[in-house]
Amino acid sequence: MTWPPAHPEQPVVTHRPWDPKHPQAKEFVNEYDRLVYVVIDEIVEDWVDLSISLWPHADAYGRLRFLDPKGAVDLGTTRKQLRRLLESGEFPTGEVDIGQSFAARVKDGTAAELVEKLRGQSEHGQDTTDLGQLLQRPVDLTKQARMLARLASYGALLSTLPAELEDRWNLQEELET
Amino acid sequence: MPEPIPAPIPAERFRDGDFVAACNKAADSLIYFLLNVGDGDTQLLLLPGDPDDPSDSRRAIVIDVATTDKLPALVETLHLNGLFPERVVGGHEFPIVVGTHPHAHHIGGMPQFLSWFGDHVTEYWDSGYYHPSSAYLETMTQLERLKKQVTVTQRRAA
Repeated sequence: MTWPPAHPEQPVVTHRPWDPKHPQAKEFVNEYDRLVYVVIDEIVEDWVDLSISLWPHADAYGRLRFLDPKGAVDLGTTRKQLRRLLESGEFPTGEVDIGQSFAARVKDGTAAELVEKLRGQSEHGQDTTDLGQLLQRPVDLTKQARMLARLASYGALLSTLPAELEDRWNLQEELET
Repeated sequence: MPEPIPAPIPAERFRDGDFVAACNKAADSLIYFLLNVGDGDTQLLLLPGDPDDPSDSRRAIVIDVATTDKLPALVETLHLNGLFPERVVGGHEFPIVVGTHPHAHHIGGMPQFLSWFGDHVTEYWDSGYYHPSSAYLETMTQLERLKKQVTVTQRRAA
């Protein structure tokens, strides 16, 4: 191992846009370059921070991979604006909550163009009071996204088990299938 | 107008000088870096080497990585200036990396950091909260990749 290590190369991931097994999945897969993956990252009183990423790919093990080396971009908005956007699409009514996740189409251009535009304003993205001008047709993916987050955590935590226990319980094989 | 609050650090500490030379001279000091990442956290604690072992060199604890690129740039700069050389004895330049909680302004740059420096990390301390953000998912994927050398511990774990 060299120190300090060289800048890592981008991971090679099979070109397979994530199909979240939603009734609108066909559209998802076909339009992934116009889709963003949005998570309610934080809520402070009336203010909501959204984490916006390019549409993820699924790797050979079914893990979601986000290939933008710059990571997600933040977008701040109000509860009211977010609620208005969610109610325009496939999303249950009720209060918004941290961790809720949805797919949305960008209103103009491609998802990559929107993300770069948001990132260009500042290192941490920017705020908007008119979310509907940027995103449209949201689809609730909270259940699927939370399950994948839990599985990702399990994948990382398996490392805390001694290798002989992993072998005895056949955990690696179970994870890979 | 309220009275200005007196600076808690004596003014003479702000004199111009050679920061790197001062750090190199104080080999037994802990050096703390709080990076300017806006509304978020990226902290690096550069630990002194073992005073009883001249061959021992500094290691670093990382607490949160809010953004991409800034922390790697600091590590490279510290190395170039002789403050963070490769550890001849023991390796493990980063004995502990902490992700305090999975919001973007705390782990937004963690996937890149682990992808870049993960082979030099010994332990990752995680809060134990699942979060479906891309930063969290990619962080977990990196930790899974590093499972042979990095121990992951959570608040809820034994």
